[in-house]
Amino acid sequence: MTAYDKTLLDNVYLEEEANRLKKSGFISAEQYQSIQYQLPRLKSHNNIFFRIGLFFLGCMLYSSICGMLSLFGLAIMDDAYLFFIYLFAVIGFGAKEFMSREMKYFGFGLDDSFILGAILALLIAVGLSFEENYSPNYLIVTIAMAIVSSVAYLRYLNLSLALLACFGITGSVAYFTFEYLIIGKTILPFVMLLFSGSCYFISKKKLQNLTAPYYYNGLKLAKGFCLILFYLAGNYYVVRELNFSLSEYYYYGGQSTEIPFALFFWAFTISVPVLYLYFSLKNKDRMLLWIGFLSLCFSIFTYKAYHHVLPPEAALTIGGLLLFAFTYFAIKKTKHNETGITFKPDRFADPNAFANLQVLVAASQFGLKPEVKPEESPMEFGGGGFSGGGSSGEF
Amino acid sequence: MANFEEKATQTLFDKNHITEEQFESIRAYRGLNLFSIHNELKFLLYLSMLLFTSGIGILIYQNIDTIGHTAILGLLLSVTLVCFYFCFKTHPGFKKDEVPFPNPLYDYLVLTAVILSCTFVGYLQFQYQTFGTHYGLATLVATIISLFCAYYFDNKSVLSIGITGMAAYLGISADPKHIFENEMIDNTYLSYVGLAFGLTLLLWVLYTAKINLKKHFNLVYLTFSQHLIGIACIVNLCNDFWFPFGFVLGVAFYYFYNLSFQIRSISLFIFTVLYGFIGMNIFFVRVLDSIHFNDFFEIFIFTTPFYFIGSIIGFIKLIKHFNKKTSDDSIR
Repeated sequence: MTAYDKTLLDNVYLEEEANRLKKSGFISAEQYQSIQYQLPRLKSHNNIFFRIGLFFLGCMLYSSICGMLSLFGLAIMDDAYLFFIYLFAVIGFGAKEFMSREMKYFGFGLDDSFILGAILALLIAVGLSFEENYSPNYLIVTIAMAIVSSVAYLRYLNLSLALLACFGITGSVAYFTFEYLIIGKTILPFVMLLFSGSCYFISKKKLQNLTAPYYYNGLKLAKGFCLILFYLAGNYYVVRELNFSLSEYYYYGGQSTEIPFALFFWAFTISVPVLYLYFSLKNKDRMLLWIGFLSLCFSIFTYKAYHHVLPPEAALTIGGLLLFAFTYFAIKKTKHNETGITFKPDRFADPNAFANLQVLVAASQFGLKPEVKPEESPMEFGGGGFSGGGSSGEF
Repeated sequence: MANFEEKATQTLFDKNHITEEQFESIRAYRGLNLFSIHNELKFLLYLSMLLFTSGIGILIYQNIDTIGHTAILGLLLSVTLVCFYFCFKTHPGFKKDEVPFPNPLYDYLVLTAVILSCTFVGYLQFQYQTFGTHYGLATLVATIISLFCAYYFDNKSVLSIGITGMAAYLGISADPKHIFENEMIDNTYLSYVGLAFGLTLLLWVLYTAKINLKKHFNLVYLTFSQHLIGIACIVNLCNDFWFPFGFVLGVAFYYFYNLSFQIRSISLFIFTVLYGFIGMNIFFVRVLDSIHFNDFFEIFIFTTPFYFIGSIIGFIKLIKHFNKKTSDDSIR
């Protein structure tokens, strides 16, 4: 089913494993290099910077090719512009196919840009083809997205395509439910719960029965996606605000109103993160642990959005102290564990994974700011610029 | 992935790429079934520090007129001193090369202490004008504290605060958020200062590399320097007086390009190429613009795909060259 040469693709996974072993110190660098020379494999960039750089260059190349063709087209025909958009899509798919088969690119950056550009062009073309009275038919577009990106993922194995497929399928289901079913708006959360739950179990089952590593990452992504969707579908804040924004009162401004089954959704919001965290530690699932932690944060946010407990600064200070105490005891407790859950760094994981990020956040969050800015008020001192804002991945 | 990882190791072993001894030790290690939450717990520590210091900062900012000043100052000072006390007690002392704390916990404690003392200095200045009304003296004090702590306790996060402090003394906001929001655009004077500061940092790196002082700090300095120089030059390339900045950019980034090979830093390399590419394009456009190339606009459009193909090939060649020169193909 895949477009790649089987042996070369297998060697990609072997080389990845060898690299992991080298990083964790089980094999020497020389040994790793000899493995690298002995295994011919597909050309791919695992460094995210290189890949992004090539992705942008690829986007420019693709769009400049399209632009050049459009210039030719302007002279030849004026009404049949739809044909050209389909042509662009075909060019993109063709280029990706050629790169995968002949040039042996797999996740090289260039091929990513062509396949994503091709899908985008195809979606625009489909949307324009099925448009009635200038109102596009979104359902057909999302369904097209789901089908095309699923097929493309099965053939080319790029992870971005798997994510696109997840969004496409979810979007189709959600859009169909609230647009084409009469009681759709009421049952939408329950449909999403059912959908994500069943998809989770399907992908888990598939993951267990997998014989080759090709689809492993995609299925794992689908599993994580389903977990997040499952939590969000039942989260009180999301349900209430989404319900409100889909109702007609939204356009008159005003507050969102209480939703039916509120108690159920509150119970869900509180219990799911706890369940996630519990099962992540029980099954030793790192992805579930992170999702559980994030969902816990979102639950706290949900609670704070509707109930005023503490002023934010006090909450921050006390929360920081409590979190510190908790972490301190957790470290104390797990410091000497030899097996199972432990504070000891895993040889297969980089113990300084967040080091650069921390430097960046410290600089952007607490960086000192000029006392007097030219042509601005002199009252600004940055003994800590506590003005929010995230980090940009710079390192 | 454990299952497939083990399979891959098995295949490597079957193909005689790894020895039996290595294979056994890998199997034994995987058999321990470790679930390390090292990174997660460290992240939580960092988060708690972030929450606490932000909370304290806002608390002081909001209650600046209600609670007694001495009470706040006293509280802040005592917390800071306690933090510093523990740090000094456990740290082995200043050395020229890397000296980590025995426990990663203390790295976060140093950071907390420094941020709190910066808040303290700021509060003191705001309320009592302790450091006079002289421009930026309070910033300088905070900067000196953070630079001292950065070098003594060997902490990169604190160092980056110190660098932003130095820049702040000169009037630039050098934290990543502001660099990319780019206040240098509307202020030519600031962009010159930024350029000069970036070049000074570069000189400092050269000097420290010579006397072997905290070599692992160099990447932080270089990152700041590179972005300051790059953005200042690009901003000036778009201004009226642009021609010399093309050369400054060219020379500086040729140097960064060679440096990235020496210290094997991908981030340095990639941003060199990025700034170089953007700067080169702007330079070309300015040149074309100044010789009135507009009449040939259509030819220009038709040649773009070839230009991009050319640059892609060039980029791939550069990457290959980089990987070969650093002779470490593990760069990912």
